[in-house]
Amino acid sequence: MTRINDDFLDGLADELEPVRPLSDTRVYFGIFGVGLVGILLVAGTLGVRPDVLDGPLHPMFLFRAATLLLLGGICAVSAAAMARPGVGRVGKAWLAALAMAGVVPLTALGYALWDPAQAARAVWYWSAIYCLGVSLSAATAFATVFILHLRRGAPVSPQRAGLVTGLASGSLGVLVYSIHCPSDNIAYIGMWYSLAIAIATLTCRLIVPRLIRW
Amino acid sequence: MTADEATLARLMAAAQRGDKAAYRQLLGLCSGLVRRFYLRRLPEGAIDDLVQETLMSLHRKRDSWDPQRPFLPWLAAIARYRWIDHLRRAYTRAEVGLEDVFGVESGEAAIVARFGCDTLLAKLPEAQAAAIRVTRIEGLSTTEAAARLGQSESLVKVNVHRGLKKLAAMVEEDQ
Repeated sequence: MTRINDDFLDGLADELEPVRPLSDTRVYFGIFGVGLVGILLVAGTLGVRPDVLDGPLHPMFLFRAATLLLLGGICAVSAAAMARPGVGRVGKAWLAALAMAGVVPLTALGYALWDPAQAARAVWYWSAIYCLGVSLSAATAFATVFILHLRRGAPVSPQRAGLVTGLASGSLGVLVYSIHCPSDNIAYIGMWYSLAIAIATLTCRLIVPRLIRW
Repeated sequence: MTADEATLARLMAAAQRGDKAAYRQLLGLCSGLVRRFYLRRLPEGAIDDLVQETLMSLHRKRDSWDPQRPFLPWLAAIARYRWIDHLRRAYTRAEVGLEDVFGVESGEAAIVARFGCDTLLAKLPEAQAAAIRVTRIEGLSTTEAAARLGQSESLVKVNVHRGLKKLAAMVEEDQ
């Protein structure tokens, strides 16, 4: 039976340099920075909703912002933590947040079934193309921050990390767009916001594992 | 020096600060632990390579261990990850019997048991776990595995593929 050579272990020890334990703080700063730049760009190009500038805030704006912030925030914490492996560390908080946020598209579906004509008018609103475009562009920037962090760390569940990265990036991307979004209709929000998050999640689930495998 | 949680965590914390002597001790202890962990779970000829790969992963990713958290679950997650990665890639025939090389020594057996790959395999449907054991751990060919398990060759391949996919998703699950 052969054994690991002492020279191999000595060689690794000789190469040792001090390292600072991987911290999530940098990823949070990165996310905050991307969010801030994204909001400034949206405000400078598309403009900000009147109620955000002058008040009072529309209840639907508050509800969707809180939902997106909660989903994006919890998924961001989960995705960042996935860079540091550990048996017994499988967090399920992101699943709970996803289940909670799932109320929005389900409510939209119920509304569409109840009043299809009104829902259709709301869904095919002119701003939908901006909604998808801006949300997914911002999501790409957020995802880049997570991917860089995960590549530096040691994610041992790359598929799950990809999925949660997509959920976090998608939710935060839509949150950035939502400061402009003129629609307060649940059918519109349930359709386009959910679609943007779903596209970001699916894309990250497919692409991110390849980028973070080690 | 014994490979207990407190000792390993102390050595790793010192290694992160650049203490080469502590790191060398840590590598020696981890080498033994990881080797024992792989003994029943890989063909003998593949073990040394995978122990080396795991130690190199430990070396490259040593900043991903948080000194506020226990060391062994971190090491176990890396060892499981490398093991599953190897099962995906490898198709090697066992060179020696697998049951007789896992001696019982000191308290390390209990620590190695906590790495829990047997538990992971036990969580798979029996047909998938059996297909993985005979093809990727014992090293039988698909034809031999099909004859042993009473499954068709294509079913053996499907069971291995599905089982490995599920294993990969369970790397961080507790026992």
